[in-house]
Amino acid sequence: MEKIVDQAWALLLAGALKKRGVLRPDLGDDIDLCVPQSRLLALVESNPAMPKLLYSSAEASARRNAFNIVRKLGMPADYFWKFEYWPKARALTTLGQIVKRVFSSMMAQAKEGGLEVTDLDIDPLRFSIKFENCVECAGISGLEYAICYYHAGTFSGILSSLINRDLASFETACLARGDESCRFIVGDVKDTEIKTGHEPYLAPPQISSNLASRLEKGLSNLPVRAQGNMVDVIYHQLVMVSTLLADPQRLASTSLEVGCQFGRRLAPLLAKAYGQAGLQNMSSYYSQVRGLAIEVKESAPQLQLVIRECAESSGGIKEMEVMSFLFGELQGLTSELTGREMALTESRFEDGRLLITLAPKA
Amino acid sequence: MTDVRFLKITLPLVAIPALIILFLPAHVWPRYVDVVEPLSLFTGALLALYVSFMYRKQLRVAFVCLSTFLFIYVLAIVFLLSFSPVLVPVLERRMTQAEIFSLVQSIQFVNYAMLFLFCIYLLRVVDVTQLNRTGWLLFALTCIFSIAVAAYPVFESLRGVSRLDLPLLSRLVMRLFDAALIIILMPVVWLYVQYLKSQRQQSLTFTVIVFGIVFSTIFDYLFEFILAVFPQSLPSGSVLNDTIPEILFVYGYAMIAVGLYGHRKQDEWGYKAIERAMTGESELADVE
Repeated sequence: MEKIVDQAWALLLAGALKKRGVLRPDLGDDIDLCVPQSRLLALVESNPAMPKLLYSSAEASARRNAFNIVRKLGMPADYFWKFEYWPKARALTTLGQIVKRVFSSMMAQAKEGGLEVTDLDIDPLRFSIKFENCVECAGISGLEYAICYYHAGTFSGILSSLINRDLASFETACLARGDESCRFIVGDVKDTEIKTGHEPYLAPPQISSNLASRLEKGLSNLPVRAQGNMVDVIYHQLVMVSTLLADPQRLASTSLEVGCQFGRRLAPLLAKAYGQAGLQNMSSYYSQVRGLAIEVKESAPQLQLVIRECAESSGGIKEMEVMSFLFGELQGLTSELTGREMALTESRFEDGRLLITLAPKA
Repeated sequence: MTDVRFLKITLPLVAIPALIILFLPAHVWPRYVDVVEPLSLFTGALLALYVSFMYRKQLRVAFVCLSTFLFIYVLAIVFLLSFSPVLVPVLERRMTQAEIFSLVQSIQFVNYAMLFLFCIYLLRVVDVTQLNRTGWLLFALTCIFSIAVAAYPVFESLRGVSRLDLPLLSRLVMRLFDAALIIILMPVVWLYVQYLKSQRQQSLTFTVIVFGIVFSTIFDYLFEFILAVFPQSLPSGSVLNDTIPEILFVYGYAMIAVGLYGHRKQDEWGYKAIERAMTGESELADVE
């Protein structure tokens, strides 16, 4: 799983350097941001531990990759030597420049949002971060709590790796709460003030969003942010893998279950949005959000789905755990759309296509 | 430019003005040294002051102390210690030789205080307790070696320490101060060597600065030590007896200045390297 994450970071860098090939020739390398958003929301709603899991995985991945990236780009290993002794102006200028030139570029290229280090204090260590057009929450509204756990972890990991300190972060403003942009505070992990913000942030009371409303916006193609409604599939992969990293097997089975429930909630919305017969709605949906290209082969009582250019597996990913939410989602969707309880019986890759067999439950 | 490339180019390059001393006629090289030594020290003093603004707290104080040390040293050389000291003829008209010597010693003590302050603040910032077992072994060897190198040529004088006059005693104390300096500073160099292969290196340019101080302190003594142990290695009365220490001083001071310049420019060079890679002007580096 770590290899997938590292490869994804390398692809994000290649994207920022304009050296990345096309991963999906037909669908393109973008996916509607309602896909990763709605899946994350579904997982966060169903599992109270998910914010912490997501944050920790994102932080560890960013920490492992960010330093390697800047080293590959030619930054000396001792560039931030004795950062704690730097005056504020030097620290803000130098670190701000590196973050902007490298990580903001990568995120902008991937259409994740606009990252900026707006302020910095050395003693005590505090980074104030503004993240505009946040892919994680744009279009979600009416929440009481900030929900950008993946980016909170990512920013903390990037800064930790650059200055070689253990940092923690929390979100102080979020689009999902009605704020103008997402804002984060990053500071020393042992700092009491940081702990006071960080710990409750990752243990919110039950989050319950209007997922249906968000999906309807997506299905109606309503613009949810200035940067457009699409995001790089690599971001989608990173997010999905991050939900699994802590314990891939166990979390994959949770993802399958949550995906299944999500698919059931999604089905009536698709019927309403497209008004087509049964499984055709499913093809239209995936085509619209550019999640994958699907061909349904019915050989009663089984259903065989031939999937091309699947967002989760683009770039050569073959680990089935990464696809677990999608499998659950397909299971739930087909159950609702066919009126029969379907279960996944087989999944395999063949000639670059993902073949899935679903059969009615006994 | 990167700090590594800069050092690879400049460190051999600054050997040229040092080595020129070897080829200058006997009546010219002292004048040349009188100009080059204070010039390189003065450059170092200005750069150390410039570098001090890059930091705050102990590191700023450390570089201010280094700058002060280098600046006092410039003044001491120009006015009192050079081959043609500016102030000595004036002082000789008003003071005895012993008084002048005391004045010189006082200035040297003040200057050493500055250098020791630099070391103290440095040790509060660079955690030498991170040294591994090899590092501590090297540290122990450094202690033995530096004390031996500093003390051996004057060992005979040490035996009669109770009967020493003030000038000789001062000389001994100075040598022991130098040994102490090397003992304090070498762990910083070992720490860099220890972390050389890690992702998180100690600062290269900072290590060059510290090594420059060590170099200008120890190699003169090492040369003296070699001559004391192998007196036949140079013919008696050879001009090399005088020029080699000057070469070592000039190169050591130049090394300090080079390290300081590289340290100051690191922010700019590092960012430019990233900018070049991001715009595709340079290839990505191989990083394990």
